[in-house]
Amino acid sequence: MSERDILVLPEIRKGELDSTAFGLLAKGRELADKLGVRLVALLVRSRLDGFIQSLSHAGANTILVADHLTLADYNAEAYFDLISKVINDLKPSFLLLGYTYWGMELGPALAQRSGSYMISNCIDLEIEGPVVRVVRPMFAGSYHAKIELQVQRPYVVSFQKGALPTPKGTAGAAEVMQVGVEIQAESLRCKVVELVEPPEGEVDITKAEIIVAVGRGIGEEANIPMIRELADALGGSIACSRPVSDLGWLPKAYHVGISGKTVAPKRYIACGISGSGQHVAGMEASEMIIAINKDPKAPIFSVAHLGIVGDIFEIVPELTRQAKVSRKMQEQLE
Amino acid sequence: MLKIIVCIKAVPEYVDRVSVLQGQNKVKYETTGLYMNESDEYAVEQAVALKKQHGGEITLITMGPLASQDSLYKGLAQGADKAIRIDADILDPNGISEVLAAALKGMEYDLILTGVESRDNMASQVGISVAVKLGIPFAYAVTQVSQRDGQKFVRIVRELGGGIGQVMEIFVPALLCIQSGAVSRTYTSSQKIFKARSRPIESISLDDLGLCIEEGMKLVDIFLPKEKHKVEFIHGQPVEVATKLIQKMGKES
Repeated sequence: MSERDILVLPEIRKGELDSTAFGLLAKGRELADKLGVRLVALLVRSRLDGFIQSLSHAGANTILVADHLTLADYNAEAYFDLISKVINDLKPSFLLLGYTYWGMELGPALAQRSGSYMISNCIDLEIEGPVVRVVRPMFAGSYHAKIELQVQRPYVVSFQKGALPTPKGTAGAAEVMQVGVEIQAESLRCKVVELVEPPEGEVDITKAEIIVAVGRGIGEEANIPMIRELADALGGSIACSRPVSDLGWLPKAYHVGISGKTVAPKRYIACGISGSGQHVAGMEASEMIIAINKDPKAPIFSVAHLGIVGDIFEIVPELTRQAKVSRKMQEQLE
Repeated sequence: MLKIIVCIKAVPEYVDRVSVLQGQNKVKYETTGLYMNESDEYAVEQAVALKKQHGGEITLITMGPLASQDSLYKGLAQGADKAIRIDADILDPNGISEVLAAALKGMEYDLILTGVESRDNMASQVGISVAVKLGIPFAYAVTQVSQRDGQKFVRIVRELGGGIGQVMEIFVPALLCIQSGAVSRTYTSSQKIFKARSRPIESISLDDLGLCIEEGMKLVDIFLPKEKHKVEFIHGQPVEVATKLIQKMGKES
């Protein structure tokens, strides 16, 4: 049997191409070159012109466009039906997508219906002849496991956000093909009522140059001001990991991670944050990451530039004190 | 009246001395015991909240070794009515989905609830796979569930990531992967859990389900994550550490 194409599923959220698409295309290009097949990208969306060029430059040979008004809003059921049909026609050897909410929902569904083997949350994938190996996290990200797949293609593989390096741009001009779309909106069992967006005028932590983020290690709500004081002393913004906003100790607008905001400040100070993949994906592009955690094995230290193993209740107040002093000195100099 | 099934998993909280158990597709580790996966606790809480509003019955189901039963007892203490354990130990989420779907096939339900990710395997795969195998609609990362009595659908709020969400209506029976945040975890006293230990747990084997699972993945190695950058640790007393840190933060970029 001849080798089958590689299919990549770029995610479009709120009219923008999610950054995971480029890493997926780079990995897809590598696999396609090794297997001597085409790299195909499928764009599901109602208005798409702007994205075709960037996918083409990222190495796709063919771009399939599924353009339909019903697809303007993400509806898992409609997308699932449509993409399943594309897979059924193309029969790709690999379907690559992001380990984002989108991919967590669509990946397993598409694998089930197409009879593919699913492996999710991968950090890397390599093929050597018929052997496929992946690396993926386990135990809340404290460990990584190398896994060899024992079943034959086709595979559906999802990759962690930020895990794959983005490609060097090519001059490639991909062929663009329209996919016929038939959707009977009335027969869908899931209906999107409305989109929920953050309220206008909300704080925007993505603009902060310094972020002091707090995690579960803070213990209780009464300790939050300690972190806020450090953020103020450094002239930065406070932020948090999911558990802190879930508990209502800080508003959702301050939550950094896949489900919240993605930030890339000059300095990111993580206080009492263990560093789950969900959180790290939202901050790992920061220029300098400083982690303070009492657990030396916390996964946050594997992405940090500077690490302090210690008690945030001893270190943070001292940092605040010294930051205030050095700020005052600077003000006097100016 | 709602019939709700909650799929839960017992997982280790912290692990140490982790290695591949040679000759078997398993991870060997030391831990303090197995606990209900945190993400699944929110699914149980959501089920209990729905039962309070609408009445009904909550059945817990898990797949795992005997040590997983403690999590079922905890769920019973939280307010579940019945508990089932499938006696099998499988690493591959594709295999786990097959087993769970086979067990759920003959059962009656309006809603199946799961968590969003297990702490140990971190695949976020089993819930949706089971829904497709059962041929029912699904939603991932659900933070709110409500139903008006008599309606054939549930109204949900689900997250799409990046702070955006959707309000949706989904026909029942449906499977929802519950995200943390909507219903907070309530404290369950050890007395309640102790009392729950006298309640029966139905045990099912793979033979009962007529299944023999061959895992599609082989665990080759397990290791500490490679550091993205070389982390530089700052040691010393808090005063010293703070001084060094402020210096470094000001200088390097």
